[in-house]
Amino acid sequence: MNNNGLALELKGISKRFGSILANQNVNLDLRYGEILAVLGENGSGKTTLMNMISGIYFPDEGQIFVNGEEVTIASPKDAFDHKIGMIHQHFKLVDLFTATENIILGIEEEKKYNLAEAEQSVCEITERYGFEMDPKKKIYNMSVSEKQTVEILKVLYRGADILILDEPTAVLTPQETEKLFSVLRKMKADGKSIIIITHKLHEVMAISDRVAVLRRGEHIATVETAGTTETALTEMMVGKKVSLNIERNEPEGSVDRLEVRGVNCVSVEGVKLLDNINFTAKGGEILGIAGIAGSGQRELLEAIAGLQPLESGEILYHNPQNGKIENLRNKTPQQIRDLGVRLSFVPEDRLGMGLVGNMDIIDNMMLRSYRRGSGIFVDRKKPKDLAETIINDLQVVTPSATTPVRRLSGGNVQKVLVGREIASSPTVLMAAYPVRGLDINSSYMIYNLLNQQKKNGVAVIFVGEDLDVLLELCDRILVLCGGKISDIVDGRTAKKEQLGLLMTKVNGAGKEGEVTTA
Amino acid sequence: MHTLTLIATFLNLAILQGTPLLYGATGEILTEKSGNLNLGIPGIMYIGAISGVIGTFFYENSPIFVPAIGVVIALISCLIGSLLASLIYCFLTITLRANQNVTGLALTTFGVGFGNFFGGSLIKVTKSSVPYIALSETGDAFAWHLHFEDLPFADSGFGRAIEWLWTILFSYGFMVYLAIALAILASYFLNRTRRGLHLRAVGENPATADAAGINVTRYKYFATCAGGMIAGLGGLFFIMDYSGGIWSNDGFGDRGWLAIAIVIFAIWRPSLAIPASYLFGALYILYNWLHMPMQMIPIMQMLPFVVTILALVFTSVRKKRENQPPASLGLSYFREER
Repeated sequence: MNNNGLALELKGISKRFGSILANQNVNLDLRYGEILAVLGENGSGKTTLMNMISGIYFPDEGQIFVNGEEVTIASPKDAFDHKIGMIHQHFKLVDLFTATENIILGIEEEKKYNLAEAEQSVCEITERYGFEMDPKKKIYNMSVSEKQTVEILKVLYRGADILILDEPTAVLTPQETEKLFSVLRKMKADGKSIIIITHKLHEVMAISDRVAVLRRGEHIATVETAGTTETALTEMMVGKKVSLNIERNEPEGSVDRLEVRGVNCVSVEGVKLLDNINFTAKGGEILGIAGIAGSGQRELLEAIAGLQPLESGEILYHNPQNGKIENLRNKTPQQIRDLGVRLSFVPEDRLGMGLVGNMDIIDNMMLRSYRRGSGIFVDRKKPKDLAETIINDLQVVTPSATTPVRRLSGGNVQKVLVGREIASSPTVLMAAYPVRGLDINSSYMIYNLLNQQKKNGVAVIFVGEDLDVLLELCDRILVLCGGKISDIVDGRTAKKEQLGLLMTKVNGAGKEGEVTTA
Repeated sequence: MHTLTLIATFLNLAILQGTPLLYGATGEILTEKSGNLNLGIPGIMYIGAISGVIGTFFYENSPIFVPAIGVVIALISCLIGSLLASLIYCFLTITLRANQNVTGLALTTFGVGFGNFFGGSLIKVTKSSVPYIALSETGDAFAWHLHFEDLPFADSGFGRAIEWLWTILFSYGFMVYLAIALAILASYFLNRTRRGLHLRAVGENPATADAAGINVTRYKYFATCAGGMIAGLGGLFFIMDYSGGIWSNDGFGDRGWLAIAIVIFAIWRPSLAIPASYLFGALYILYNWLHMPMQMIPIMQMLPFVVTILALVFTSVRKKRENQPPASLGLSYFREER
């Protein structure tokens, strides 16, 4: 093998989805028998890049070399043929099948189909690398960590020499993580090359030989783990601060509006989603929420909106009309909305929670007002006026107010969603990822809308992905990490690197106490 | 002895009645295992039947008629007809990703109309005074089997003692046994072969199958077409064997829907579809055997569906994962979803 010791080499890889550039001119190399960590924020293009190596996506530009030879990877099968295996963040397993059935799925072998033999060879692999796994166990009876083991076995069974793990530790407990790492080290000793995607810095330091840092789809640098520090990596990951010139007024006459006290929340599977959350949102200020995707942002907002049952804790609402303090925990989502607490959530699939794609803008306005009509008939006049106001004021590009929302572009959908929630003159406005996928102008329009609400004395809670925006828009920034608050910092004085570090690890457990008074 | 003969005759008729259902159910199970809910099966069974009738009609009216060749021609034209009908469904739901329910229902409406239109045309061609087409010679060939009376030991004491058993087991045309063989084969294919494993994976979780390097589109096309062809044979059996080669419009009735009900009743297992089909066949003809007023007959004909609902309730309450429909049943698969 005359290939300068590289198992895998990427040259000038680019990939775009519509107008969004996911990867731009990425160069990356992987040596034999090493563990390479790929580090980057959300949306930095890590997963897209790995998907191109494993054949899920096809690169728009660039070359891929395996063992020094240029290859075309057009399908997952091509990737297997080049002995590349990827363990996805979202498991790709058939629930109804046993571990072995999943492992042998899709393999075309010469020899006769024999499940017992396959189970035997699976056992051999598990013993070799020290996994714990019953090959006959059905997936739907398995824990998350067992499912991950099946994913890894699947790749090993096919004889992969290059393994890609997409955020393998995101779903694991620390003990399970340690177990996984010891397996990975055994594989490395066995000569396998491993790429591990993560944004947990301490894990990068613990497991990897080298680190490649991606930022906004671009490859920033690849460094030896031994010769770098967590701080240096964070700087590379978040980049220099970019000045955006978003207007930010001093909060005026801010009063406590929403107090969240000791909120805990547990998922159906028993995983802790929110861990002792304490903070106060004030009227007339924008409270930013930063964190890696899935750190509890969604659950927190839903808890306030009454959509997520709480394990313990309380959410106190200071009603500006009568000065009374009410506990939102005892209220239905409808009652909470009537109090003026509004949630506009823009999830990954863009159509938002609260818009119906096949209905037009007017009908979507009516989703909030249909109860107000008299008798059995709905009032269509007011929603129509409102729809037209939003179209004019927010410059929504649409043929008419009667166009189905799904035909609008993402940005315009978001304007309709945010516009409708603002139109109900809320007292608390929660906007999650309202600028996701929007161009600069639309984004600024949304920022201005939020600022306007702040001026009107609304308590605005803004969940964002872009740290630069959070730092310029928000008065205070609450940083979540793994369902816990790492800290609440002042938006005017905080540093980007500081946020980056807070997002990736929790700052001492004692912080929460002072948070409520911050 | 008299009771035994009576039971034997009843079972014999139940099996004859259940056989078209078994074809339909086996075909639909194979199809649904790929995640395609083909509600066009009743229509495809009509199309399969009329295609076989058309092919045989022209051959039977030619000067050189050999019954065995008539059978082969009927089978081939039936398979071609049902294959084309299945391809319509495949193209719409797999390639164009149209809604499966709508496509299936449309195909059923189309298939019934298609059958009646060409059936009606053929009746016109024959200038017959009765509203049906008779292909009795081919029909006889389809239903051919050894009659008990022709057996050497028929008249012996032993012969009389086992006549009832012969009636239940051996007094059918070849297509009854073919139906059982196909169901067992389908069961073997799904549970004991690599391709069967792949097919089930496609129906359970196409994204996973795709990531594992399985060609989802190809498997869906294969299963839906093979399933449609098997179901089409059920229509052909009904005309050629059960009805003795006589096509009359709407003669096949609602049996296609019964076949789909059996799929649920047999919890998506071809091997279970065999007894289930015969049970449904028995329930379907039960009213003939119980002396009851005319107006009760539709209620009796409802029995198979009542049984299906009970089976659905039972499996839903027990919630055993293995007894649920394929997880992606009714959904189209599109890879580059982001």
